[in-house]
Amino acid sequence: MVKSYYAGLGYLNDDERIRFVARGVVQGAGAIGDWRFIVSFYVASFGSAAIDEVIADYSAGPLESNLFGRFNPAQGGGFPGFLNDPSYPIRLGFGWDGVQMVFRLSVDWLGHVDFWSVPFP
Amino acid sequence: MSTRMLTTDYPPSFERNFLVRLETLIQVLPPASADLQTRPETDYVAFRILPTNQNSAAIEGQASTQGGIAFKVGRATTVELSRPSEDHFFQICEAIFRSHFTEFIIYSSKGRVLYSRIALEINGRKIRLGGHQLFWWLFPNRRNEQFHYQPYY
Repeated sequence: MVKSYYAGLGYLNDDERIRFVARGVVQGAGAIGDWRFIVSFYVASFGSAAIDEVIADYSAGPLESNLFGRFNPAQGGGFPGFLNDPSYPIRLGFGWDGVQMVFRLSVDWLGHVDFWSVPFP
Repeated sequence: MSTRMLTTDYPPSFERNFLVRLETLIQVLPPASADLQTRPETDYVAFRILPTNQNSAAIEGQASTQGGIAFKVGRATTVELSRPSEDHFFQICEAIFRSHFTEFIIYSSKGRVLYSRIALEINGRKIRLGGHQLFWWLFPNRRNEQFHYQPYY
């Protein structure tokens, strides 16, 4: 294929050869101006950064997490995370299940589902 | 915990309103049917409602602006409610005071609560309290227990 490409170029005069090569360059560069390429580039960048941020936030633990944090009066501190705020009827984040800290989904009218246990400092 | 009236000097807040309603709720019960113990702190109030009847379910938990209302009914059924669901909490309390109900608990082999459920009726509508561990039915050597509770009066 590559061989035939260069073989084909050999039959062209300089002007035709330049036009042929230029057409390929413009075709390759077309993605740069394509709105779908631009959108997918930004979505991928944002998605990757968001996932990193969520993982880092979760790793901060129940007392430090901005998204999933839990107010722990008995343990002296903490604040409600954005997704675990007691103003919302549906909450995702850290919570107490008896004496064990868990990561859970709570719904006021349905109860809660505990996903996994979390070591509490 | 203390059993005297504590709302007198408590600053106006969600916690104070909650405490006032809780005290009122207990005051309207028949005499000597329950004892309310509370421990108001600066940013939360801990409470415990102990029935005189040993076969009734106790309620204990904490209420705060930052943490909502988290409480336990009976042996191991824990409930978390948002602040706007304060009315719902008091409806649950009233239902517990005047109903017969059963608490279903499933423990793991290590004694951890995997599943807890209480069904109550509020204004003709059935509600369920409790929660469960994800995939609780996969845990081996589970132990099921049921506890029957009587009304407070």
